[in-house]
Amino acid sequence: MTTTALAPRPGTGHYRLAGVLRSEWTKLRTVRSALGLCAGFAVAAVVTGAIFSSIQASQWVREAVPARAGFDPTNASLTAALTVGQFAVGVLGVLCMTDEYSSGMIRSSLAAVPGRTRLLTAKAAVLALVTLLAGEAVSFATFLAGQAVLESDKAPHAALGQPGVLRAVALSGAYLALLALFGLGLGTIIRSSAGAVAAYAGIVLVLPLLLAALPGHPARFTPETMLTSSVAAVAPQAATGALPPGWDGLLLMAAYATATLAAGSVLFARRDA
Amino acid sequence: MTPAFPAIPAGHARFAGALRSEWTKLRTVRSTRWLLLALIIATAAIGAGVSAAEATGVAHSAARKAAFDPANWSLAVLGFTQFFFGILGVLAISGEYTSGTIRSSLAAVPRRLRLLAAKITVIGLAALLAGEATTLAMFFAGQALLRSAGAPFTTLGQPGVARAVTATGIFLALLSLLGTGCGTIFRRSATGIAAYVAAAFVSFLVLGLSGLHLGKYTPEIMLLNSVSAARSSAANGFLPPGWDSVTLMACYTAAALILGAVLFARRDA
Repeated sequence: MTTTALAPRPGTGHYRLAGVLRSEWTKLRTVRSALGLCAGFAVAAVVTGAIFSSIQASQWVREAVPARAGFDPTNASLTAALTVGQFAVGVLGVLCMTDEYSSGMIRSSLAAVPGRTRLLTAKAAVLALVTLLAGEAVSFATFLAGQAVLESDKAPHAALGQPGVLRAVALSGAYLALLALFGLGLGTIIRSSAGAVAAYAGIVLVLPLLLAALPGHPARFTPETMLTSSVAAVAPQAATGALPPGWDGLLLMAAYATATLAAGSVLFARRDA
Repeated sequence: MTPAFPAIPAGHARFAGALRSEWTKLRTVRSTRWLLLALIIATAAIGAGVSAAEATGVAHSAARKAAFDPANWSLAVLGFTQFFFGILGVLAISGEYTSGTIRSSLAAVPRRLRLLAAKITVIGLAALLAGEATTLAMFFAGQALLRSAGAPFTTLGQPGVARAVTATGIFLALLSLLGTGCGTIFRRSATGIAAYVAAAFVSFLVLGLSGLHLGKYTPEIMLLNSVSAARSSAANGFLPPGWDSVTLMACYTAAALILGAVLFARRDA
């Protein structure tokens, strides 16, 4: 007597991290809003950056000599684009998780990949890679377009070979990826799209306005201020009380993102979906 | 012979009924309570923290006293808490799409513009009341704080002060309705909130950098520097205190609501 298998044996390895990474990439790629949002905002950021570089150039030409001394062409070309971009990547990070709760997909995802930490790790890895590439592309494109505009308008301009410039441009792109992970962490903790987008916007856009009134410049530790006034700067912006240009802001943002994701991960592992 | 169904009472799809049902919805959804709670806590906590530090600073600085506008100062926290008004407006409509209630709402009130008009009326009035209450509470708390710190303070009877307080409450209601416009256009909570935040905050961060003085036409700058100001500080390049900014904000809100209404009337729910 022979027995027939009732169902084909499941292929080995489909619960491995590689398979989960592939499924997360498919989700990110095919969810209606995600890549459209990313591409639209990338173009908007570069265009905004170029326009504002031109405005900065015309301001520089009009300004008196002492006011010209603090001009940082790298920062001038990047700030406007990063202000737009930081909002876009954060919302992308939030929706990457909360869309699954809105649609109910999270239950299918967890049925397919019961290891919750593994699922979140794959999601974070795919999101980080995509936003890192997009962030660097936007950062370099904005910088190059902005410097071309500044040069043609006869204002000071920077080159990637000058001290600190390559670091500012590259770290700004990386910072956008950290903001996306921060958004993912908030989305995992809060689970509702509306709540998490509101929390992200509150922390990134509203908090610095509020802290600006307090003594001791606490706003320098907020994500937005660190990005536009220290990570994306070559010359120290001491007057605003910002952190010095360089790695400090990036490392602190990495700490924020890690803490948020860690809290999200603990909650994700313990709660019902 | 008895009719198969009881007769439908007349008037249940009239505007008054629609208003009542919108009020019930706004009053009973969870998000309204959360937002009101957050508004009160944020305003009180931030107001107390920031203001106490600031009031002492003003009291000890002659330079700051000279240009000090106590009414404007006591309302500054609204630059932060206006956020909750906008989100309230967004969720009032996008929440219906999230939960699917929109389909029941349209079955009950098939005239789409009537439904939307009822919603706008209820949100507008509720936000106006909340806005005036918040503004007055902050004004009185702020003036009491200034007085006890020995800094210059003002009263509603001073020129321009009652106008600043009233206009600020109206402005907050307009921001809520701008949120409703965003929610009607985008239908999803996340996108609606993102659009509101872009209009209310990103706009001024980006345009404020421009050096073209376009920042003064953005909602946040109008709220902080002209609507809530009792007196003009001539050289600063903001719109003058008073009704100009309220009118401009009303135009933005009307534009968003009209676009929302056109889409709402034409699209599937």
